[in-house]
Amino acid sequence: MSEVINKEFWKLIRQGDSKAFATLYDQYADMLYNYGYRIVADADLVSNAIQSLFIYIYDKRKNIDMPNQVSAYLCVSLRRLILKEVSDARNGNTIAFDEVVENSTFDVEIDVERSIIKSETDGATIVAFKEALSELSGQQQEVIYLKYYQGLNNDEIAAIIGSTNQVVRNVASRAIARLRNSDVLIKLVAAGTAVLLLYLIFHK
Amino acid sequence: MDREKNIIDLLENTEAKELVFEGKEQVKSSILAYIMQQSGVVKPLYKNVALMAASILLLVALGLGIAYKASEVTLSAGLESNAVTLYSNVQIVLEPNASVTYNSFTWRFNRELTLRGVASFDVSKGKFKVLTQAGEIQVLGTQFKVAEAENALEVFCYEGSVQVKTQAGENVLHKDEYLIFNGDTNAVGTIELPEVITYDNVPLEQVLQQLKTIFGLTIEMQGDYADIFYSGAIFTKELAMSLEMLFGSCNIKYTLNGTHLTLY
Repeated sequence: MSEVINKEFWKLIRQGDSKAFATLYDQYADMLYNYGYRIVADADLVSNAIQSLFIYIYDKRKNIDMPNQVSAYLCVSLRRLILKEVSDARNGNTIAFDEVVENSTFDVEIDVERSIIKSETDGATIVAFKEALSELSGQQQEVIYLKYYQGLNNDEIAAIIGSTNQVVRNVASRAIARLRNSDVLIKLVAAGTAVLLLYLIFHK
Repeated sequence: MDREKNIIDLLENTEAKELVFEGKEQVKSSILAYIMQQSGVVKPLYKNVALMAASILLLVALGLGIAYKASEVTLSAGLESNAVTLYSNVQIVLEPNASVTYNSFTWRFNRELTLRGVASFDVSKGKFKVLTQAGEIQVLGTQFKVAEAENALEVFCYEGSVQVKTQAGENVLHKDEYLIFNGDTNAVGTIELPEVITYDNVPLEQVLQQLKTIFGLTIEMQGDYADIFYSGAIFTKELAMSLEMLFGSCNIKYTLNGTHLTLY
């Protein structure tokens, strides 16, 4: 996502300009919803969290310096709000927030049809890839989603998931290794190779 | 190595499923309404403020001389607004379905009438009284508007002053003040078109009526919108943003050509 937020714009945010808030919301609402819903598949909860996030920013605007990357700032704030909401709803504050964070899940889910067109790859491979992605851990899926589907860098992802750049790199690396060794993808590649060999033999 | 490259190619060339944020416009309305409230630009909402202003202009422009010989006279608006002048010094704009009843015989020494519904008055001189079920309004040379419904009453004073009596007590309203009696208390405030008007499950047609009045729009409706309700806000100084929020929330396509709004 391209960042069009500059210092002048953030100045308007800090002044509480309603049009600036409307613009900020218009630019990031869909991205936030898509991210939030992948953390917890509850439309009302995510909508409320997004509303709370913007109201929080408005209330605290005078103390909020312009983030290096606004999308990362919004994601980390939304993530925390959602997980806190989940924590409160589940146990009335009797289970620690950290535990909710620890056990949080994430569902990256790719769009098969659009991916087939964009990648110019056959449907079977995309479906297998989708299945392989779903087998990754929640944290791996989240890192993959933020890195490849939201275009955030390792530092920004580290800030969002409350970790370090090195950990993010390790998680991404392990996720790719796991995808590489995924049974469904290996079988598909093997089948594809066999079909290719048969094709070459019979058309020689 | 090749396989890893393939995986990265796939990650870079596939797309995550795009989820539709159904409540997007409603959340936006709530956020902006909150901002407006916090910044102190939201004033108490009362009904048809802009319509009232337009009605006064209409009153000034129009005046019909009507003489009645019968002692009990009732004037009704029917389905459209109607402007009337009583004895050349009381001008009235009756809004749809409103009516006033007065006695022509006693009028010379007791200028009072009974109102049902909503009407604006311009009284150039002399004492004058409007009676409603919820209370009465005594005036001395003024322009004002009264909306009554069963046991509720709204009075808006544009010129001079009016004295309003309800079950909750008496209040004198001066220029640009209003009073709302809800059956229990009289609330008095200053008339000012609010920058943001918020709605909570209000029929779309009512919102359209206000948009029409505030922005001077003509509205062409190509569908049936009777069952559509709106929860959100409109901005009285931002037509484009208001339309976007309203129709985005209601999932209605529209075009705006000058001041002509078409809904599909």
